[in-house]
Amino acid sequence: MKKYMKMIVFVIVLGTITSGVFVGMEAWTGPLIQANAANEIKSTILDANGISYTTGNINEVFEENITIQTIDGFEFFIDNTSGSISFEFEGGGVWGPIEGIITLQRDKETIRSIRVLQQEETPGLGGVVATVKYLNQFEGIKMVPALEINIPDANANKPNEVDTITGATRTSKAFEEMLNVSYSARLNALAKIGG
Amino acid sequence: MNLFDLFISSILNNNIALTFILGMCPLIAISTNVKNAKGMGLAVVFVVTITGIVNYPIYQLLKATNTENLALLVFIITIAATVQFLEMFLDKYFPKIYNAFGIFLPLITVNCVVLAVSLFFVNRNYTFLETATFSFASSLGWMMAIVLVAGVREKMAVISDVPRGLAGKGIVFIVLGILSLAFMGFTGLSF
Amino acid sequence: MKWIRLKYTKWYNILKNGIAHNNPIVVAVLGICSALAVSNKVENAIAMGLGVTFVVMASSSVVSLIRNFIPPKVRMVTYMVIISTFVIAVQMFLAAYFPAINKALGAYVGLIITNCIVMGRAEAFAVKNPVRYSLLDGFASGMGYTFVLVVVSLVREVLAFGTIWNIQVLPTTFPNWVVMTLAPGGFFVVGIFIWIIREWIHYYEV
Repeated sequence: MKKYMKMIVFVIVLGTITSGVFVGMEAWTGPLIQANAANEIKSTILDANGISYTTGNINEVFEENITIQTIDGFEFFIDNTSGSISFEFEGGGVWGPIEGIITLQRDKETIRSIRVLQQEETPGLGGVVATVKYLNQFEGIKMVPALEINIPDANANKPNEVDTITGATRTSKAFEEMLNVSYSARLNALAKIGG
Repeated sequence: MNLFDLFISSILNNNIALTFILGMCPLIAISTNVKNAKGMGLAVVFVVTITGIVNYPIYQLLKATNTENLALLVFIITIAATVQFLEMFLDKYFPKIYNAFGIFLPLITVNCVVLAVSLFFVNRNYTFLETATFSFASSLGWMMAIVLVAGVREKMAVISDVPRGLAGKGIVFIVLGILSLAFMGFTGLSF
Repeated sequence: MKWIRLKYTKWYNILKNGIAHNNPIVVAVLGICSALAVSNKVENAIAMGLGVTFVVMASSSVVSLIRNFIPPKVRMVTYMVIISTFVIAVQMFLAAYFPAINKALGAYVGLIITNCIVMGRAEAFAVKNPVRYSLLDGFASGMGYTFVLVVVSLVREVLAFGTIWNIQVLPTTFPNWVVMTLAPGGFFVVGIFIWIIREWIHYYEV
């Protein structure tokens, strides 16, 4: 019995200490992490629209140039001058969630830029999905009828087609699906933007 | 997704051992003969299925209270607790099964397949039924892999002349490499 | 004279064991999942190697510090909790103050927690030895692991991409061996590497 008591006491103490560490860390770093995430979204949207800013004036520049509209529960970031529309997308990758921001041109179907903000894919393989070099391929690609990420093929070059990442078929498929799903979910809301 | 498709694809084209390369340490260590491999495989099927089913409602609870970032830690504790509980339960009521599992049960706590299955269902937004199917099928796939490797090793021990530096665990890598090449063939079998 | 005496100290032996005679991958065959996953490029291998070294050192010293209080029945759980608490806390700290580093390391975090080397060293060494030796043992094992990862990734990156550290070394006409980036390539290269090292240190399994 004494042995069990010792075990239970130990487990309780360990549990208390670790939860204490977590609560403490959360309180300490939570606000900073949120601020970092908000800043990252703003800088990504400004970059996509080619607007220059510095770390000091990012909030003012963002408010000046970007209008935030919420339609049917979806949040859209619209550039005041070019009319480009950005929104956040997310979905499950192979190992963990993938999150990012896609910016569409005024016609609401041509991709202006895609950036991945968070991913946990295999480094060197699926992880390529977050690199600027890979994502630049998406520029000018159409989201209609649906985006396709296919194995490189010299014969077919459709306006809605992008190459897969070598050796990462699963990540590529997951990425294709999450982009299409986020886009089609927002189709109705997108139609209501502007005129 | 159709449950049957999920079941088949978790065993064949998304085999957790041969395409996701998870749970390699126990797979390499305990695949010396088919009997042990079966024991370990069964224990894993048991634990993974139970922890998958248990972790699902727990995760929903965490999500409801907005503490998802504790999920990893909670999963680990659930897994360890399940294994511990299972050990005591079997020891008391089914000593025969307990003796058959032997050392394999405590070893499962450190098998990364168990944790990965719990993390995967979160990531892929499975429903409860899908989670249960996925947990069962993945662990079955892992069991298949370890039994396959053990079968090859058993035969190899008798008839092959393996270079001594490669003998034992070294040659298992080569065997696993060939097996996972073969399993890549299932990729075309997409649903 | 001092150098010769150094050879017989416990410090020297622990270091030597971790890197060669007790190398976690070659001899103990631990930490294989992550080794196969990240050894496709040299930069990934180094990042992962350093991350693991750091975590093994830290978790080994914590385990060693409380080794006399851990009840044997729940020791595995205790290790797991310590390791994951530690890794997640460090990750939160990085996300708050160094978001760029956190982003680059994001994918490795899960791989480090499930790396059985961390667990293996806690069980095999830290739980029986004082803090200073556990720290050194963690460092040695981590370095042994990093060493294997870097060598394997050199072979795989050259054959798969024709590059080393993203710099082209083979002529671009060289056909890339895509299979080298995938799991089977990892298995073959690690298997052959184990063979070479075992012949070298004369470690044979019967």
